[in-house]
Amino acid sequence: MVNIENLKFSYTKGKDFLKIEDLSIKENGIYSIIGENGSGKTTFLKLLSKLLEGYEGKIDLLGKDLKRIKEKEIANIISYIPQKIYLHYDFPVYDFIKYGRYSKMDLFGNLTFKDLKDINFLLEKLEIEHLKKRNCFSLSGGEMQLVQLARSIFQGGKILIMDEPFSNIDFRHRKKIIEIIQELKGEKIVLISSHDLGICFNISDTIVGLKNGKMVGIGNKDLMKNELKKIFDTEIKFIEDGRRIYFYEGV
Amino acid sequence: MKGKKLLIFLTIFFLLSFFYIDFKLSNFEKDVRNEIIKMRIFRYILVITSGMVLTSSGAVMQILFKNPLLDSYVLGISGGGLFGFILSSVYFKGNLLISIFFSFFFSLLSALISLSFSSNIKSDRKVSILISGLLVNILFSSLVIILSIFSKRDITFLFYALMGSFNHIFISKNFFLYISFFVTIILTTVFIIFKSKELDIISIDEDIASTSGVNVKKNFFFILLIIIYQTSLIVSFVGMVGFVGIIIPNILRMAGVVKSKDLISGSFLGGASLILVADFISKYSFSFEIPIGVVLSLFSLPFIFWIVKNNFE
Repeated sequence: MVNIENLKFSYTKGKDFLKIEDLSIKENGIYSIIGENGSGKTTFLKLLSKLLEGYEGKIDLLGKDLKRIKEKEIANIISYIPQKIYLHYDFPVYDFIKYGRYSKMDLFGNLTFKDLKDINFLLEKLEIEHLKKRNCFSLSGGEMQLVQLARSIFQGGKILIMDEPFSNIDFRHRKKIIEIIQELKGEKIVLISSHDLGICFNISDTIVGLKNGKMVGIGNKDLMKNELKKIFDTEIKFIEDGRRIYFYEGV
Repeated sequence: MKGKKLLIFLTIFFLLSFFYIDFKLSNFEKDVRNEIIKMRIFRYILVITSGMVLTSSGAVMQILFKNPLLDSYVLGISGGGLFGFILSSVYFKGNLLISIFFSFFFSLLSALISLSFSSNIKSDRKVSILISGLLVNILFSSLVIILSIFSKRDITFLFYALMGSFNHIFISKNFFLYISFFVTIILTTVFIIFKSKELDIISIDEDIASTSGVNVKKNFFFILLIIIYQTSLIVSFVGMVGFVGIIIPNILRMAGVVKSKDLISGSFLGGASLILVADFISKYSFSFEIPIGVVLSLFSLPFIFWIVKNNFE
C-alpha cells in the first residue's frame, strides 16, 4: 500500500538529508518511526504527505504515484497531524473538525447531513462532545490533540500520519489517544514518529529506525529492541514483562 | 454573523447612514435640498464602499499573513497604488483605464517588494513584514511627493492624496464610472466571500490545509491579487486611507467573531460604519475639511498600540 524506492531528498543542494532505498508497507497497522532529533523523521512524514517537493525516487501510496495525486485526492489518502500547531487566531472546535472534509464541501462550505452526523458520532466516540461549543484557544494541549485526531479521522485518509503525537500530552489524554489509534489500526495505516520508545514498542506492529536520514533497521519489537544501540548511539536499557517492554535510561 | 449580533450591527449602520445623509438638511430650501441629497448620496456610496473594501481586505490580509496588524496601508500597497495613479495622471492626462491599470500595477509591485524585503529580514515574520511594509510605504510616498512637485501640482492635492479624502475625488465625476466601480467591487467581494473556507483552513495551518486538499500557494496569491486590485481601485478614488482595516477586524475578533466569512461580512458593516463616522467628523469638525486619514489615524493610534502590546511578546 505504501511503496518507497530510492527516495532521496535534500534541503541544501548536493547534500542528501534523507535517503531511503526500499521501504514497503503492505497491510494496515501501526508503524512507528524512531530516531534521534534531526534524523529525518519529520522530513520523511512530510514527504509522504506531499508537503515537501523536489524529492528523487518514487513514492507510491495506495498504488498511485505521489507526484500524480491531485490536490483534492490527497485528502482521501493522507490525514496529517503536524508536530505542533500554532494557531494565530482563535477558531471554533466544531468548525475545526468540520474542515477535515474540505474536499467534500460545496461552494458555500456546507457538508451533507450524513457528514455532519459523522462528526457527532466521532465526538461521542472520542469523548470530546463537551468541547463541541468551545474555541481552540481555550483547550489544553491534550484536548487539542484529541480534536486534531478527530479532525483527521473525519477527513478519512487511509493513511494517518502523526508527527510526535505524544509530546507534551498528559497521561490521561495520552492513554486516550493510544486507545483510539489501536482501534483504528484494523482499517488504516497509522504512521507515528515519537521519542517515547515505550509507547512505540508496545503499540506498533512494525518499528522503523532512522539515523542521519538513513533507515537502520525495520521490524517488530523483538527484532528492533536489539538495534537500539545502532539507532541512538547509546546504551538503552529495558525490562521485559511478558508482552510488554519498558525502557529506561539507566542512570 | 448571525442573529442578534448582525441585527445590532445593521441597526447601527442604518442609523449612521440616515444621520450622515440627513444631517442639517432642514436648514436648506426645498430645491437646494434635493441637490444636496444627491451629492451626499454620491459621496455616501463612495464612503461606504471604500470602508467595506479597505476593512475586508485588511481582514483577509491579516488571515493570509497571520498578522493582526496588517492592512493595505501598512503593507505599502496603497502607497504603490497612489504612485501609479499619479504617474498616469501626469503622463497620460488622467485616462481612466490607464490610471486604474497603473494603480494596480504599482500596487502589485509594492506588494512584491514588501514581500521580498520581508523574506530577507531575519526576524519574526510578524515584525519583518511590518518593517518592510513601512519602508515600501515611505518609498512610494516620497516618490508621490517628488512627482507632484515636478508636475507643479497644487500642494493641497498632494496633502489630500497622501492622507485620503472623499472631498477631492481624483477621478472625474461620472455616473457610469461610479456604477462600474461599484459592480467591480461587489464582484470581487463575492469572490472573496466564496473563498472564505479556504481562508479559514489556511488560517488554521498551512500543512493541514495542504493535506486537506487546498492548494495553499495558488489560493494565497490569487486572493492576494484580488485584494490588491480592490485596494488600487479605492486608492484611485480617494487616496491613501489607512487603519480602518486594522481596527475593525480586531474589534470583531475580540467580540468572538472568528470564522473568515463572519469576519469579512462583519468587516463590511463595521468598516462602513467607522468610516462614515470618520468622514462625518472630517467634514464638520472644522470650517474646512480635514483629510479622513488624519481623523482615522488620530483615533486608531491608541488602539493600534494596544493591539501591538497584546500580540507581540
